[in-house]
Amino acid sequence: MNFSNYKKILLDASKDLTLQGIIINPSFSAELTNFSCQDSILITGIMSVDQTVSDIKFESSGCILSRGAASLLLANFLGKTLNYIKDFSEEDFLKIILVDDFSARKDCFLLGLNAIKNYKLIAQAK
Amino acid sequence: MNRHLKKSFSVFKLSPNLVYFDNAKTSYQPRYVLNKRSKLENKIEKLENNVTLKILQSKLIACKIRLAKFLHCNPDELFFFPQGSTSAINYVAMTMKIDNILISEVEHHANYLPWLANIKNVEILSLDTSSMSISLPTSKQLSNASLISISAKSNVIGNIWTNNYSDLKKIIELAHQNKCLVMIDAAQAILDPFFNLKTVPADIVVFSAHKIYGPTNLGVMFISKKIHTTINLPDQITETLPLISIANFNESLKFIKNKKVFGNLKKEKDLAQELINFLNTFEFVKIFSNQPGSIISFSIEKIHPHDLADLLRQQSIVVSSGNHCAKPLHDKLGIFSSVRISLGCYNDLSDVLKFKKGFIAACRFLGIM
Repeated sequence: MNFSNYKKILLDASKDLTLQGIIINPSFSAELTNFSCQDSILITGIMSVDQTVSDIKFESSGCILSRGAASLLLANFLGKTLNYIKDFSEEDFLKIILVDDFSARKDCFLLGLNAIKNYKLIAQAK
Repeated sequence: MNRHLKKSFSVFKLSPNLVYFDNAKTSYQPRYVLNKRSKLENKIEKLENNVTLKILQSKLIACKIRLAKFLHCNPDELFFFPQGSTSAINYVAMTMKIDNILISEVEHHANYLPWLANIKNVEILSLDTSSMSISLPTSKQLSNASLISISAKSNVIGNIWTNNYSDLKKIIELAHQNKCLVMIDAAQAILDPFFNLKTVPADIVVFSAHKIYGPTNLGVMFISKKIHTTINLPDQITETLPLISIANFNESLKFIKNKKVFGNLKKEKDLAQELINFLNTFEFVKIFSNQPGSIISFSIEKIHPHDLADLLRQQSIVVSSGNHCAKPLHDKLGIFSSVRISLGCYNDLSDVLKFKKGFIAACRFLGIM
């Protein structure tokens, strides 16, 4: 059976624990709850002195698509600047998760991206 | 639920593989009902305004008579046509000057939020999760409350009243003894053959047309004549009513009667039982509906309902997932969302078989089988 939304890359990413968790004493954090389904995500990250993301983790309760997409998204942000994150568009995101469009699950796919777009700086770069 | 009923709906001709199990959200309209609507629209386009109004007024009267038969009440009772049950509840919440109301834990947000926003004291009757039934109000609660607003059927767990609404009738009788009015949200129960104003003698009953093969954006609010002085009646001028939709709904009501949708509810129970028996074979499935009926909700351990629903949808099986606008009930059940199957008149055994196959394929894909 071919399930178009559920690409292998997303399924694998949703099971990947590398970026899952919470960073104690982060430089920035972001949090969002999807109002309609109550899925939520908490992102914490560390910025190095060269203003790039040196570590990033997320903790979420949500579906495969929101967890898988968040995992792929945050892996892509490692080593990038916060300005890069700010400018990162939905079209850029589609290329990473290898789907043609978000279809009816747009809010699931975009939970992580919408969260990190409103990050809050907590501490100085380390 | 005869096989030939499917032929009355265009969608199954266009998508023969479609399994539509989301009738608690909205149902399809029969083809001939839609054709009648477009014929009526074409006809009145060519007529003068006063002739048009006369035609539509006669349809309005016919619809009210049919509704009275439908609910087993007198045709001169008061029927109003809001945009849906939600707007009807909002109307009552905003216009009735009361301080205390009783609702239940299983209510849809539409029967929750208007009261929280407008009424000072909202008391909530709790759900007994072992029997999936609502606790009876205490005499103190009844003497304090001016209104009870309660569902005749939950949009998540289905039947909550036993013995053909006899326990709900008992609550209504106790409420009336305490001079407390009763409003029933019948959005999910209105097609139940046992639901009518004899079995559930409420003062106000609201429901939406689009859930019973009628048009969208149209609801029905029955207000008993006995209470017409205690409540601000909606100011509905005939000319401003959605008369085309009302005429359309009149045809839907005819369809329900002619096609014996009511008479097929035994088959609906059989299909529900078949689905429950199937789901019960899996240890990882938890079913929340206690009685076999048109609504069955369940959750799967470690699997998000959206994922299962999406994987089923990709196999042309439409179910609902989420909290179904009943978050307090989900909190009570200790879950954040669920998968809901809701049956309609066009569902048959072939749909159940397709669901079984689709469910197994989805579970295998998710690695839990």
